[in-house]
Amino acid sequence: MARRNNMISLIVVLAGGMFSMSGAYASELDIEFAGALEFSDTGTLFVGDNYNGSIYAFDLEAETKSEKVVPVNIGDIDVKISDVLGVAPSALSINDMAVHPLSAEVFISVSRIGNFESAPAIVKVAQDATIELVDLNSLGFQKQELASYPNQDTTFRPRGLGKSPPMVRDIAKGNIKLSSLAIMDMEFYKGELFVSGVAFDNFLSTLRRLPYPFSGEQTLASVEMYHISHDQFETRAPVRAMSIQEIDGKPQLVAAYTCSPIVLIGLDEIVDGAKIKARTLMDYGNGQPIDMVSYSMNGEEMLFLTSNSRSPHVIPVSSLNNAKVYTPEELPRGGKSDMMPIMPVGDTGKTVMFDGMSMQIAPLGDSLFVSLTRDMYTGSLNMDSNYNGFPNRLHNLTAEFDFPQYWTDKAK
Amino acid sequence: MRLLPLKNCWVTGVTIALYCSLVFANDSRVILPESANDNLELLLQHDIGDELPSNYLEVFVGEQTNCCSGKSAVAGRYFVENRKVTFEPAFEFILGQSYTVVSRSVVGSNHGTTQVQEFSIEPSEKTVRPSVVGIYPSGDTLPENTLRFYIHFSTPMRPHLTTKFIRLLDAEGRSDTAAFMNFKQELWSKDRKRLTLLMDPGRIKRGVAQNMRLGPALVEGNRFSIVVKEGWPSANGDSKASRFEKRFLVSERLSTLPQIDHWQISVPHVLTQDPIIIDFDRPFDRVLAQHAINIIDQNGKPIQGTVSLQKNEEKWIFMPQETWLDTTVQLVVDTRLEDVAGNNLKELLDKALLINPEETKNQDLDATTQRRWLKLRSG
Repeated sequence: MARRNNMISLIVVLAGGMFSMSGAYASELDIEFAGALEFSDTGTLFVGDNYNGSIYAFDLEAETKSEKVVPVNIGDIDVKISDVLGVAPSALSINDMAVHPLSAEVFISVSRIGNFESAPAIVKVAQDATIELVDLNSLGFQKQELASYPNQDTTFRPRGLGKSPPMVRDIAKGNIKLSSLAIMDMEFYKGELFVSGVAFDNFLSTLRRLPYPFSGEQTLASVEMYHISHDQFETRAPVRAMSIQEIDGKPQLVAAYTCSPIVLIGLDEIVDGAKIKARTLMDYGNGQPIDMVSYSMNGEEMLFLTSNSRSPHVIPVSSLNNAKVYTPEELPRGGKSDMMPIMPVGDTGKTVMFDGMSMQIAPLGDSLFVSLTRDMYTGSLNMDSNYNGFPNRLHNLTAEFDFPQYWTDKAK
Repeated sequence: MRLLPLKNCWVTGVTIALYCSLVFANDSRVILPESANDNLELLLQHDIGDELPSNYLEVFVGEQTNCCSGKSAVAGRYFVENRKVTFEPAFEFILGQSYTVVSRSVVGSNHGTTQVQEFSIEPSEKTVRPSVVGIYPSGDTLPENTLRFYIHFSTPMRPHLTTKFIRLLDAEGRSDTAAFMNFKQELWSKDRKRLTLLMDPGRIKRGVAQNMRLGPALVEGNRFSIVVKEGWPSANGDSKASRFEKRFLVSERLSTLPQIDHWQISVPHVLTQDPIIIDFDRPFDRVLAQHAINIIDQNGKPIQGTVSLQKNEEKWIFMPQETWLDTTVQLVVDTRLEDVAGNNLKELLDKALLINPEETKNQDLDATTQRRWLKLRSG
């Protein structure tokens, strides 16, 4: 933080303190990393801080309701955020994105890499496409420290592919801390925040359940699941993306893992100290999920899953009712990659077209998705808002319709 | 007050005249940041009234040639005080990054001028963030009569702050303000990256007034820590070190003379470049041990190599620059070599501790070195 006028900063600190909600765990904002984002229905923004093992809840309920939601499109969004933060785009890392439920403003959490260390920042993209730094110090907030949080020392063990030794870029994984996976995804549901990630330092795929407003109370449950394509029970790798849906008549967590099983966990199973055995419904193919967002298409609830290595997958929520649960006994043994005849297993969804790769996606109003999309040809990162029934641009495609003759001939 | 006309400047003197001409050229003046955490200031010749300060002063990322239409300005806060607009960026400026400042002397009028100027804050060589990179002796257990601590910093540090930033705390966190020698002159290395901290010998030596009055600073069986408090500025003032704490348990006093006969010496094979490794009988002073022990060949010529200390300064490793050719070499130890308690090869720091005067009977007290022949293993 730059040198500030002492009097002004004192006033800001006091104001922050006064507006802090009761039961707050910190009077002064000490956020070190702005990672996973999630909004409550009324506009509280939850921010996961993987560095200090806490979740912050910022009061943004006063944002004005947007009567009509319009698409927001910004080319080179990373460059434009960097401009606001006073750095080159190479010094910016985008961590997550969420849309305010009332104002339809898009909030993006980033790390700004400074001269000696990185600083957390949240920027807000308004409906008129202006980009603004959110002054977190001016917001009322609550902080909840997470129990059994992993230490900041344990890192991944690098591996090569199959029998080949790890390459330099694989070895780099040996510098990544497990705590970077400690807060993966957050879902707010009926007054509670559900958090997926790893706890402790060596295992543990964990689901946390925190009442909001935070009371200090927290529930931790370990999750085990049968991973179809790895053909093993897994307890370490965490849920990457999730959504809470009414399935088989009760609220359940639909959870996506790397390479890429979808499992179900009843919310009633998430009790403190539980060792949950998740039910594996499908493995839709190799890859690593990024986001799972729910939306309605022609009156039907759908899940839209993005991945860092495959096109998005769309799963109708109703297809998960009475779905078959897979166990190792009924499947051929051994690892399974995409090309094996048995794959995908139990998939009730469809792979859909998406021009470019979505780094972050979220519903914008009822009929749009807003996405930070990496363009295939230019490599630029763009904020795109598209109709959720067909979330695409056509600028990178040339088809029959693009020929002038097509229209001339059609007019004849 | 509006600008003085130029002719008035002349009559008031040369300095004022110069100032006026500068102001006339620009009508307003921007004060650029000199370090990463500085603000920007715009000095105007009039009050800005209800105008937004950002109409007068904005900073953009990038060079002047590509600035600034369609770009968002760097986020930050404005303060307006009389005719001064101050911009405090939300984050520090990035060293070496180009920024462009756009300033206006009058807004919404043709009379005003718009200035566009580029700046960057060049990184100095010393912009490594200051931090404590090590405290020696490095052991978790240190004798009660430990004499010296070395505090190593990553970057040159500002002197004369030892008493402000360094504390010796007991297990309850109580600070012992009389633990360290308080010199007028602090003991910094030439590059000001290593600080030598001496325990007050008066506290260590038995029967001395300080020891009688206050007792020893370190007490056997207890836990202590040396804390370097947060905020010690680097020599160039760019940034401050974060907190560092070294915790240790205090063991019994080292009250015998170091004996090189008790050292375990592992010799290499001839015709290899393997190291000579010495396991000491105790931890030695890290700085002295790096210089006070040498290897010479049969002609008395020093053999070149690098020395490193490991295992809490209890292991000395000499890596030769070239292959061992001689079958015998000589280990030469300067008798001024001290262990962590300041005992050298000839005398104890606290002579009151010499329980057995016979111990030194066979020693040549005038000798400046102690020597041992080492026979290298045959290839």
